Parts: sequence; C-alpha cells; structure tokens
Amino acid sequence: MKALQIRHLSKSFTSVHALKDIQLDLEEGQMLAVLGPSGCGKTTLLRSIAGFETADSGTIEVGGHIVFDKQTNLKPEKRRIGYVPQEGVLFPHLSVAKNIGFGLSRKDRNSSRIDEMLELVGMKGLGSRMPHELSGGQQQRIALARALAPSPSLVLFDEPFSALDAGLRADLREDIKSMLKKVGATSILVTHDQEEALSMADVVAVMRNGSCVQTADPISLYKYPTDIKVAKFVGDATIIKAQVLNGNIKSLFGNLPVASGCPKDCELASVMIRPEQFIIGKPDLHLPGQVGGKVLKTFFYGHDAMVYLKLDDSFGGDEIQIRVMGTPVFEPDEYVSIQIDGEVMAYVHEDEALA
Amino acid sequence: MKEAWTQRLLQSVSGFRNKRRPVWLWLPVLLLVVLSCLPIFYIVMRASEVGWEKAIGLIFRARVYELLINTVKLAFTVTLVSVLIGVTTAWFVERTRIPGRKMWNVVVTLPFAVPAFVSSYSWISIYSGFEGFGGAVLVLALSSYPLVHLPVAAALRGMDPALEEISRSLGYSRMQTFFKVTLPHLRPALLGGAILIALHMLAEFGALAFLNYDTFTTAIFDQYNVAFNSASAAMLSLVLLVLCLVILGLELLIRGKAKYASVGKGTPRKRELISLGWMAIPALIGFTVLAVLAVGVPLGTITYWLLTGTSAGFDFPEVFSSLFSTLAFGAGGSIVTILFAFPLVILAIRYRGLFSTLSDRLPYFIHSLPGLVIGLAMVSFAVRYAFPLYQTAPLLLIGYAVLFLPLAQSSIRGAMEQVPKQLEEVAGSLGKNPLTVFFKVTLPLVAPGVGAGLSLVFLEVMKELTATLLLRPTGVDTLAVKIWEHTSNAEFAASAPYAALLILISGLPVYLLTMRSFTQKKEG
Repeated sequence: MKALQIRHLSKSFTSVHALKDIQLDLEEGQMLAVLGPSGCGKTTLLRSIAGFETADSGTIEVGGHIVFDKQTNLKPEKRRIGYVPQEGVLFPHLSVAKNIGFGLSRKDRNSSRIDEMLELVGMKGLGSRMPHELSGGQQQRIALARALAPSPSLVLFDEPFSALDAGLRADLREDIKSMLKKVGATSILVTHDQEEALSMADVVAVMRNGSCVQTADPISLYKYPTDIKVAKFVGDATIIKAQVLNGNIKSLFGNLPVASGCPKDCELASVMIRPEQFIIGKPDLHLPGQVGGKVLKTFFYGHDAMVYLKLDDSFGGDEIQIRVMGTPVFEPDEYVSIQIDGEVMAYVHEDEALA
Repeated sequence: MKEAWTQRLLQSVSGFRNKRRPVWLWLPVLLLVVLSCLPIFYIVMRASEVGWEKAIGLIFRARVYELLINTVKLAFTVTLVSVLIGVTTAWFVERTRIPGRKMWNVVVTLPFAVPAFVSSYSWISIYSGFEGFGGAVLVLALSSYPLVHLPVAAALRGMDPALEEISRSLGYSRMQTFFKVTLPHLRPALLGGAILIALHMLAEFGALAFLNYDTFTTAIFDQYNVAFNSASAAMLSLVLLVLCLVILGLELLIRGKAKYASVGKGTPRKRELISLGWMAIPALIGFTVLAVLAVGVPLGTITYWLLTGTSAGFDFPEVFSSLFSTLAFGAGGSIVTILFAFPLVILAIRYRGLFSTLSDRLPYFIHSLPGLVIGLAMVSFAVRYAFPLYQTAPLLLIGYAVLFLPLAQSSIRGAMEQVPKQLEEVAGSLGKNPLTVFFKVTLPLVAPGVGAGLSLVFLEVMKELTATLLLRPTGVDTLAVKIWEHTSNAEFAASAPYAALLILISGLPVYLLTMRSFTQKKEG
C-alpha cells in the first residue's frame, strides 16, 4: 500500500497555473522532498495535500484512503496529516507540553505520550517551558513533536529550516531525519535548497512552473537530470556544445561516453559535466583527451574550492568552472591540463537551455 | 521584569547615570505628577472640610450601595455585549468574503463619530421608553463596540495563518480552532478593548443623564451642580476612583500571566478568506441591523428633527458661534496636548529612569479617571488657589490636555520609535546642535504620528461634554454643550443642528483613521 498517491492533480489561480497534472507516489516510511524555486507551486501542492487549499481536479490518496477527488474533499482536521510550517509556529499561549498534547485525545494526553515525544526530539524535561523561552531550533523540534504525537499517516514540512542559521540547520536536519526514521514516519519536505533535498530525502521531485519535471532518488537526480535546467538547479554544471555519434561525444576533451537514456546521435548537443568530473593536472599535451587552459581565479570554500579556467583558443576559448577538493594549489595565469572522468549527460541543444 | 524595575530605580536614585535630562524635558513631567495628584488632594480637602466622621458617613450609606450596583451592572453588561458584537464584526470583516467587506469595515467603525450622548438623545427623542437600564445598555453598547472591533480586527490581521492551520491538521474543526487557538490569541486585544469600555462606562455622563440611569458619575454631577453639595460629590468621587483602580488592577491580574508574544517573526502568508455560502445572507442581515441601530437611527432621527425643526427656524448665529468655539477648542486642545506629549515621549524613549517610567505610565492612569472627577478637582483648585484661571480657556485647555494625553503620546511614540537614535547622532556629528537636529531630523520623521495624534485629540475634544460643562468659560458654548442644554429641556428639534454638525465634523477624522488602519496597519 502506498502512503501517498497523487494522480492528475491540477489547480489554477485566477491567472496562474499553480499545479499542472501532478503525479506522485510515496512508499511508507520514506521522505519525499519537493524541490523548486519560489513560485513553482510546491507550497500549493503541500497545502492541497494538507487540505488547506482545494485543487481543481485530480485525486489524492493518503494511506489508501481517498482524501480528495471529484466527490470527496476531506476537511484538514479529518485527514490525519501532520504539518510543520516555517519557523514551527507554536501556540504562544500554551506550554511546550500542551503544544505537543494539542492534537491528542484526553486519554493520550494523560498517558506518557507527551514525555515520549519530548524524549524523541531530545527535549526531555522541558515540557513546562513556554514557546518564547525556546531557541529557534528547539521550537522547530517541538513543532515536529506536536505533529508526530497523534501518529499521523503523513507529516508535511514547509521549508522548516529556512529561518535557522547554517550550523544549526545542518544539525537539525540530521536529527530530524533520524527521528522520523525511528518512528517510521512518512513525510514530505518542501524546500528550495537542493542540498537539503538531496541530503535528507529518499525521493526528490523537482517542480517548475507548476509541473513536476523529474522524480528520482537523490543520486540519480544529480547524475542523470532530465534536462539542463534541472541539472543546473540541483548542482553546479559546466555546459559545452558538441556532436554525439554512436553514443560517444566528440568534444574538445576527446571521446566521452554518454550516459544511457541520452540521444545516441545528435548533430548539436548540450553536454553537461559536473565539476567533480574534471581532473586537473600538469599540462602534457601529447596525451589524448587532454585540454589545456589557463587559471583565471580560484574561490576557496574550506572543504573544497572552485577553479575558474579559460580554455586555450585552440580548444574553443570557453571559460569553465571546476570543483577541486581540498586546498587548491593553482595560481592565476598558471597553465593546466584538464581531463574528464566518467559518463556525461547530453541533451538535444536548445537555444534557451544555454541562456 | 522585576530586575528591570530595580535597575531603573537604582539608576534614577544613584543620580544621572545616563545622559542628563534637560530641564524642559522633566518640567512637564513634574507638572503631570502634580496634576494627577489633584483628584486625591481634592477629595482629602473636601473630607477634612466636613470632618472625617461625616465624610465616612457619606461613603457608607444605602444610596452609595445602590449606585455601586447600578454602575457595576451597567459597566459589566455593556462591556460584555460590546465584546460579543465587536468580536463578531471583526471576525466577519477580517476572515470572510462577506459581500461589501471594505464598506462594512468603515461602516462598523462609524459609531465612533457619533458621541454616545448624541445617540442617546436620538433614541429618547423617538420614544421615552428607552430610558433606564435596557436602553442604556442598548445605546452604550452600540457606541462602544468599535473599541473592541478595531484592536481585535488588527490582531486577527496580524495572526499567522499557520496557527489555525496546524490546529486543523491536528484534528480540530474550524469552530473548535476558533475557541482553542484564535480566541486566546485575541485575548490581549480583547482585554484592552474591554477594559477601555468598562472605564468609559464609569465615566459616561451625558448619555446616562439623558437615559435617566443613575451611576456614580451622574450622581456626582447632580450633587455638585444641582444640590451644591461638594462634600458628597467628593466622597462619591472617592468610591468611583476606587472602582477605577479595581478595574485597572483586574487588568493587571488577567494580563500579568499572559506574557506571550508571537514567536516567529517571518512574514505570514497571505490568508485565504472563508467563503460564507448561504451564511452570507444572515451575516448581511446582521450587519445591516447593526448599522441601522448604531448609525441609521441617530442619523435618521437627527435628519428628521432637522427637517421638522427648519419650519420653526434655527438660531443661525448661535449655531455658528458654537461651531466656531468647538473648532477653536478642538484645535487649541489638540495643540496643547501635543506640545505636552512631546517631551514626555522623548523622555520615555531617549532616557531611562524613574522619571521616564512615570512620564510613560502616569497619563494612562489619569486617562482612566473619569473626566468629571478631573474637572471637579481642577475647578475646586482654581476657585481656591488660582481664581483668575477659573472659567477661562487656558484652564479648559489644560483639562483637555490631561484627559487626552495618552492618545497623543501613543501616536507620537509609535512614530518616534521608528526614528533610530543613530540618525540624530549622525546629524549631531555633522555639526548640528540638538535643537536644529530636532527640527530638521526628528520632527519631519515623526510628522505623520503627530498628525494622527492631533486629529485623534481634536476628535475627542470636540465630543467632550463633562469636563467642558465644568471648566468652560462663562458664555462659551460648544456644540456638545448646546446639545446637552437643549436635550435636557426636551427641545429635540433645537438640538438637531448642533448634533448634525458635531457628527459631520467629527466624522472626517474617524474616516481618515479607519482608512489608515485598514490600508497599512499590520501588527506583528
């Protein structure tokens, strides 16, 4: 049984198509990340699942029960779907324990359920605090405990980490992921942060202009994006133009194997290469598959660095970026050789794709 | 909280740890302290005149008990009814797609423009049976509920929609969510409005006199003005003051525990309004009935009397002269109030210490005292110690300033808090002296707040009846006084032109303030 099944879900506001024929499936215990830029419709999708907004057509099934279709439109309070909004939004007039107990029946409220939830989110003994006495991260934890307490069939997160600072965000992500695994909760995370989506989710759905353009596990999504836009959205990418012949690319980098699913023959293709596929070395132009270039500048980020290169005029003269692990040893104006490791993605060239 | 207090106290005792306060800043505060002590002095003075034993006898008697019951009963009932009306109208205007939403938002606040004594005049001129408790509750609730509507509407607007959505997602229906989540969120706004109404009911004079319902305020006026018994008036004032303090204490008690503010600070999402469906019809009927009762009846009656009265002929020179004095007192009173409020606000915002706290809190306390008591105290002091001031315009203007100071203060304060201190410091570092900085930097930035304060006080002064009756210079009549005189003699047609003019000129500031609140107020 699927935990969530969405078929042909559409909704339009007065002038905009907010959701276009969305199809989604989610297995029990998994986390789905809905990733997209702001205004892509991901929040509308989340709110339609929760029942705060009503779609125009399509069906939504949660845990095998239809909550929305042509005849049915269950009210939010009947759907058994937990909701964790941005910044948590705890009830300011209730203590932490009462916040967690808010959705519980009287019987459960008096049981040890609230303490269990406090322990789960690592805030044992803080039940009598008031929300304004908590830090942002703590509030978010309580918001999760409140959503999980009535054992919902699905938990929705609406950009839950965007208000937190970077260090706290990383910790909380890991914690929340393990808490959800511990109770086996099925969840959906809406975010515009690709790193968040890739690191937390089991399945990622990329949305653009109201449509779901690709649904895949994080690794496939990163390695085999469905088009150039998705490629650029989920990570850094270098795009070059080349011809594809018999599943191989004749490029300035020599013959490159094309990943399966890409066009095998194409007069003009856009080729997407991830920064970490590049290997930079000392120039040895006699070896095949090597290209020479000049270092323009490097940006150092600590765990890695981005090297900006200008290819030799004999190789096209393009500027490309390459990610290098560790501390870079390249000086501006230094000459280097560049090789490419592994399969690359190729797409039929469209003018706007490069724009 | 307690720490902050002791710290402030220490700072003020241990001398001027912060910047030195200029004399022009703390003199007004001193004056304010003196003025706020006047009612107490007045009561003590009168009591010692008649002898303490007699004074105590004047307090503990059957008549006082009867007045106490009357006053409390009225204040409680009117507050309760106003809260019910105000919360309902606020909810419909802010949360539903009721047809004509923007229009209703203006219409429901219109009773602000109709002083309670004017609407009670219109009701009893229709039928004298409106006299007594029932009529008083009807008339006063209809003119008071905007005091609940406005803050509650603002609180509803500022509330994060996610709060209610979470409650829905946790299994509560819209109705249950309203009581479990929305209502607690509205509590501070609701409480503020309710306290204000209760205090107004203690102070209300004109409407209750017309409606023939005795409370402390009307009884004090009778004792002073009709029976010329100042000792009895003073002792009744004492009980009234105690009642005020009880209400203020009650507020502290209820609010004390509710320390919560909204937790998040992100921008709330735009809210989806609720479609009413067939419920729109009863809702519209309700709003229409409310508008007819609260605005239609007063306006209709006044129009009727205007039309029938025209045949009898109005005394136009007198109408114009009282219109002129109303506008003159309104302008004078609001300017004096603003001038008085400015140093208080600057002191409260830019300096810390006991004086600042006093200047911040004291006017609110004075504002909760009935205008009648303040008027009486000022009259008796003027008669005794400053006779040249007695029944002069300056005394009346000071009276207005004392009564309406908080209105000016809160408007200026709101604007002033938007002016960062650094801005003034930058101007200073560019070689400007403090006075130039004030006129070139501070004043232009707080101008909108000053404007709002001016119009608010202007409005209140024009509607003021009680203190005006006591303090006005002989022979000078405002519109409110004229309405009072004519209606007391049951000359309804003669009151009409004054009432019409009063509503007309006070309607404009109300309209401006409401539109402002609807377009820009977004409480965080």
